[in-house]
Order: sequence, then structure tokens, then C-alpha cells
Amino acid sequence: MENRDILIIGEHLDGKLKPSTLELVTLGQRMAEQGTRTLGLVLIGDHLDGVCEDAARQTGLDILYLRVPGCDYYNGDIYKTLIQAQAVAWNVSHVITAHSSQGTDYAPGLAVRLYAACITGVNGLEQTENGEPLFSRAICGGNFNTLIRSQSRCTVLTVQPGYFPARDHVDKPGQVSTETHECVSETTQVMGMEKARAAASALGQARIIVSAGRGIGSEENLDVVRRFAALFPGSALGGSRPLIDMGWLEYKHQVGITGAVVSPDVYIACGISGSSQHIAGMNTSGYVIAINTDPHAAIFNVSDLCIVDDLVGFMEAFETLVET
Amino acid sequence: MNILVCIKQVPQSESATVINADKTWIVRGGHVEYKMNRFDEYALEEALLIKERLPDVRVDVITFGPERCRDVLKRAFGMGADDGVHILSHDNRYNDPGTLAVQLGREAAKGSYDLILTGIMSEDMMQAQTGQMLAENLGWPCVSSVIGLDLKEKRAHVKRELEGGMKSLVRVTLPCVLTIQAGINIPRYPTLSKILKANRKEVKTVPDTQIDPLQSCEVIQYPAKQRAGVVLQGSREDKARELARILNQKNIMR
Repeated sequence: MENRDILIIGEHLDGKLKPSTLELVTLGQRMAEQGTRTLGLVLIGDHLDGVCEDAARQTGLDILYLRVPGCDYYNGDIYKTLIQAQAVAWNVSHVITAHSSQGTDYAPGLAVRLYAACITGVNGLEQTENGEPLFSRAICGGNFNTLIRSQSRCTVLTVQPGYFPARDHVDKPGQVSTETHECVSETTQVMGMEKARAAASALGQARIIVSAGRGIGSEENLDVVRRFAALFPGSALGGSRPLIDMGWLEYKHQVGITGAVVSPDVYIACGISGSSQHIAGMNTSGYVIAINTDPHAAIFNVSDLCIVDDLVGFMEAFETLVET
Repeated sequence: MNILVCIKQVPQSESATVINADKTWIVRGGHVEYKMNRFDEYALEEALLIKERLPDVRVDVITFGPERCRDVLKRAFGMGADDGVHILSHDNRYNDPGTLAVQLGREAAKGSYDLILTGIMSEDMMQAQTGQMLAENLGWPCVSSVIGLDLKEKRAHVKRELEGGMKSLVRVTLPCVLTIQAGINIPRYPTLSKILKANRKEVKTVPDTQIDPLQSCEVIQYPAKQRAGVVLQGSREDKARELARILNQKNIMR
């Protein structure tokens, strides 16, 4: 396969292409439209013939399948070695990976090896007057976006899910080329996988989800949130990750990338600041209401209705109103 | 066994933070309270648990930042850390994580560490890069997003958190860097006696080094609203009434 300017690293799980890969391709295509850049999509692992054909069909891009016999699970050390070699061989300007448990694991180390800037959690693409790309990324819990300019010849990017929607189906599938590499890690072995604990079924079924975040202040205030949720028949109680980490709620209530990804008709975020990991877990909800004391909280950017008030005071007032 | 934990001081809250006049950086308004980055608390606690479990374990901490960051080392001493290094920085703007990782690497190489722990990311800059880059600078392996850790036969046996509640089980040789995810433990509070001792403890301060960054922050902006974002106005009762009306319309009230 001939040299490409942008190396996109696709992700796969259980023999299927992960949808996030299509979002990486969208960013790559938008960058190609800004300047003249060619794209190559790389998949790494074993037994991926089907995945590669699927990727070639869905993206129209040529696929380079780096087959590593026995590499059944993601191994950061092997990924870094192979991607570094490929980036050098193609003399790429950019490596695009997902802002996922995999991408964030290897991207920074890879960047050091390539003497490249590493820009993580990219959620937007703009450009300077000279047509140089500027990458947007969130800071301070999502309250602000910074526009970052790379000053290195090669740049490694991790892409926040949900910001570069997959483009329409293409007519002409790309070509798949396969290279087999015998590659083992001296330092790092992946021994196996542990499946998720019982699925958060109540959250999956509910038409309305009332979720609590750190802004509720104390564990006792969860009762106020529970009473509030009880005003809506068929509602389920959710929570943001810090509450689960603190042991205030069980894991089955967790909404976010590392918990349940939900899409109810109505989502009410109570005292949730709106971290990207939480937003990615609820952003496809029908109607989003946020209640928070901080008017700048990032959750308000993804809300249809914003209520700036003391949470407990407001909920109690609402309950009184409804009861009378 | 020697363990180094990288810790960062971050603001308690960003609610009074705004964008500066020329839109190049943020300004933290009013009296700002600082704390230890939440993810670093988990990393430090994990190191202290190892120290309690195994004989002859030493736990050092290192931080990078302006004068005020000394407080975060004191807090770490209060929790039980042995010694601390402060890389004193002058510029407090957007740091390329790469330049930070080089400086941490230089200090880390001076000690004979078997294990370095960091939080998975900082709450303010949210880069999730420093630990992985530090490992690369030292030529060590690195595993990120660790929510379970056991040390056996010169290896770390770790559980990594993946998406949707899945986990992978990874075995990695020492020395290594692990970035710690929230929920691995319940961080302890500093004890009064340790805080008093901490106040008498010497912090080793080293100057930062100017390293050309590979990336720069050009502009800072408020994120675009992705939805209508209608803000309810009026008294608390007005807002409650309006919410009830909207929810009734959607036919979800009891």
C-alpha cells in the first residue's frame, strides 16, 4: 500500500468494527478537505479479515491490516511498536485514534516516540488564516474549549466520541492489504477480559431518567433526588461516575462511557457538571433538563432546559408544588 | 521497593473561572481554593496501601507548578507520603504535557523507583497524557486506566477499565508507570499528627526548565450550545411551575 499522510487507527471489538472508527474517518476526511492529504485506515489484531472488509465497505478507504498472530486483545506495547513503524514508513503528518481506553493508552507514548505533539479529546476542527489545522479540546470539566496548534511535524490526535458524525455510505469499497507481523511484548501481556457486570437494565428501559451528580453535596441528599424521581412514573435513577466511585450509588446506576449509554425521552441531570465522559453517555436523550447552581456548568451546553438554582431547595419546592 | 506518585494541585471549583480579555487563557476570579487532583488522590492511596501491605516500601511524591503547589505535597505527607519534590514553575498557562513529562522524567530518574503512579488525568486540563509520556521518557512500560493492582514476582498484575464496564487483565514488568482510575480505593484523609509532622518536613524544590513545547493554545472559547438551552427565569416557585408545565406537556408527570 502506498504512503498516506494521515494514519487512522480503527478499533474493533468481538469481531466487529467499532462505530467510533467511522468518526475518526470523518475527522480525517475533513482534514483532507482543508489541505491535500491522503488517508489510510489501519486495523491491528488477529482474525480481522471480516472487520477489514466491513471497514473498506463502510468508509471507502484502503485498509492496511497489520495482522499479529495471537494478538486477540488490545496490547498497548504491540500497538505502539507497530504504529510507530507505520507512521515512520509513511512519513505521516497525523495519526488519528479514538479518545477511548485504547487510544488514550498508547497515543501519548507513541507521540513521544515520534517527537509529535499529542492532542487528546479533540472535539472540533478549525483552521488558521494560512489553512493550518486548529484542534479544539475541552478543559476545566468542559467549561471551555481551547484551540490548539501543533508545532511538530507529526501530530497524534485522540478524538472525542460524538463530535464527528459518521458520513453517508460510500459506493466504492476500498482495498484491503494484509501484512503479517510476528510481534510479542517482552513487558506487557494481556491475560484476558472480564465482561461487564449485569447490564443496567432499569436505565435501558426507562422513558425518563433522573440522574444525580456530585453537586447534590451529600449522600443524604440522594433521598431528595429519589423523591423527585418518584414524581415521574416509570422513571429510573441514574448517577454520574463520581457518585459511584464514592460508593453513594451502585454501578448499575452509572451513566457515561464507562457505565450505561442511555437515550430516554427525558433526561434530568441534577447537580451534574457535565464531563465529556458523562455527556457521551446521555447526549442522544430526547429532551435534556439540567439543574445546577453553577450557571457555567458544561451540562447546560447539552441541555434543552436549564435551571440555575440550589438543587435541594428547587427540588423540594417542585415537590411541594406538585403535591398541592 | 520505592514508589513515586505524581500529584497535581487543581482548583476546588471552576464556577468563577472566565475567559481573559484577549481570549488566550482563563482567569480564575475571586478567592480560589485549591485541592489535590481527585485522580491523584486515588493514585497516592494505592501507593500507601502497598506500603502498608509490603515491607520496606517508600512512597515519594512529586508535583509541578507555582509556589502554592507546595500545599499539595503537605497534604500528601499528611496522608502518609515520605518525601516530596516540587518542580517550581513560573508560567502557569497551557502546558504541553510533553514538556512536563520530560521534567518529571529527569527527577524520577534520580531516584531508584520500581513503580510510578499518576492519576488517569487532571481535573482541570484533562489531558490524560503525563503518565504515559513519563513512562516513554524512562523507557518503561505503562498501563493506563488501572482499577485493580496487585504486585507479585517483580510484576504488576492490573485490571484496566474499558468502555461499558468491561475490563482487561494485564501483566506488566516492573519498573513501570500505571495511571490510576477513580474507584480503585477510597482515599484516606490526612491525619492531624501527620499534618503536624508534615509542616516540619523539608520539600526539595527544583527550578523548572524551559523546553520548547510541541503545541500551543491559540484561542480559548466557550463551547457551542448543542441544544436550545432555554434558561428558566423568575423566582424558584416560577421556575418550578414552568418545569411542571413543560413536563405535563410531555405527559410524564404522575
